Amino acid sequence: MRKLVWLKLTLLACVSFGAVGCVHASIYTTKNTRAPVMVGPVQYIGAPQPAPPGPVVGSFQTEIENFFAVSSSQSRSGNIVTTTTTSAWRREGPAKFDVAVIESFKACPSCTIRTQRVRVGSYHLFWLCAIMEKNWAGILATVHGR
Amino acid sequence: MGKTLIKILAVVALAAPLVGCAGARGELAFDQLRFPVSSSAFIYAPDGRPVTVRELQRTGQLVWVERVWGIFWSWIPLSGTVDVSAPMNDQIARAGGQGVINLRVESENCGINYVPLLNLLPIYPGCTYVTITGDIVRLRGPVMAPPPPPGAPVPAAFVPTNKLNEAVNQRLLERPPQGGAMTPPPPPPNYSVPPQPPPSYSVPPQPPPQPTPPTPTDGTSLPPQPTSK
Repeated sequence: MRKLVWLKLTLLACVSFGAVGCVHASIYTTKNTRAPVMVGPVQYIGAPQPAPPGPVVGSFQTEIENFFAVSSSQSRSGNIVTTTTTSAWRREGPAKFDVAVIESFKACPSCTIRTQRVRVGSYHLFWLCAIMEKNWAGILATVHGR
Repeated sequence: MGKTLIKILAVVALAAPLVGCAGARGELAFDQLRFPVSSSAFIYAPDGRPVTVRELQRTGQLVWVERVWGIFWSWIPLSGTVDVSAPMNDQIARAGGQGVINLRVESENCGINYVPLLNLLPIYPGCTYVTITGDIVRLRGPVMAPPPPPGAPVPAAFVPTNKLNEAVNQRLLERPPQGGAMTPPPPPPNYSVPPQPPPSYSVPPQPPPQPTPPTPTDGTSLPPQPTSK
């Protein structure tokens, strides 16, 4: 009995620490957008005074999250039940931000976009049958008319 | 003693699935920035035109690492909203830049989130590393000296180029619209370059996705990237 408990704990620790350092950072960038995506109150380069933004005509939020999870699932075939343990990545790339920004530009080509807040976070989680390490990044952006 | 330890470990193992582990969350603000910053490779010129690397000169690299804290497995943020404007302003000014393009904000777990058993405690503080990077740039190209204001003495001493550029750009922005017929139009400012084709805002084609293992949740996911660590 004692050996079984230790074996389970050791397996748990190994799987848990296997995830350490494996999860990619969640990155906010819009490097594939071929238009300025401004952050902060200043609009023009070479003109360091704050430019009053145009009226807010819209806003959007986008978030990406990356995690590594080990989970078990059961499948049944007739009377045979098979338990499968899988490890899987969920990796959402920064392109999700590009898509959100480009959609806004398509809706209003003359508008400017300002990222007001960047939300970040991470945790390491034991949750039911999953062992997870997770981090995320998200933005709150406003769309301004000219 | 041995049995007690086993019982404690068993209780911990049984309780572990019911709770979370250490983590943090927070918000970054940029409200006090004195320079324009863009998270793409484009930025607005003084005339409102989007300009990119061909018309910009890279003068340095912006790097800033911030940490945000939380307790109760990241549910309660301790850091709140962190304004990172001051260190960014300092780095841009020190590099002689006029703005930042290609801003990136990276979020990842801190090492203390992995301390076993302790990270189960809700009051154990969790942490998130936030790394902010970007390219510090300024407008490229020679800039004409601004005409001296009426009555101002002509400077005879050395004027740093960056101060000169700022003065020129400032003066160009303050120039009133040319509508009168009595004065000849001034020559166009030479910080501009031939017009670029209109931006398409498009994302370049991505390589075909690799087959991915099933993920435990729904939603859009991208193909796995090679591990960098």
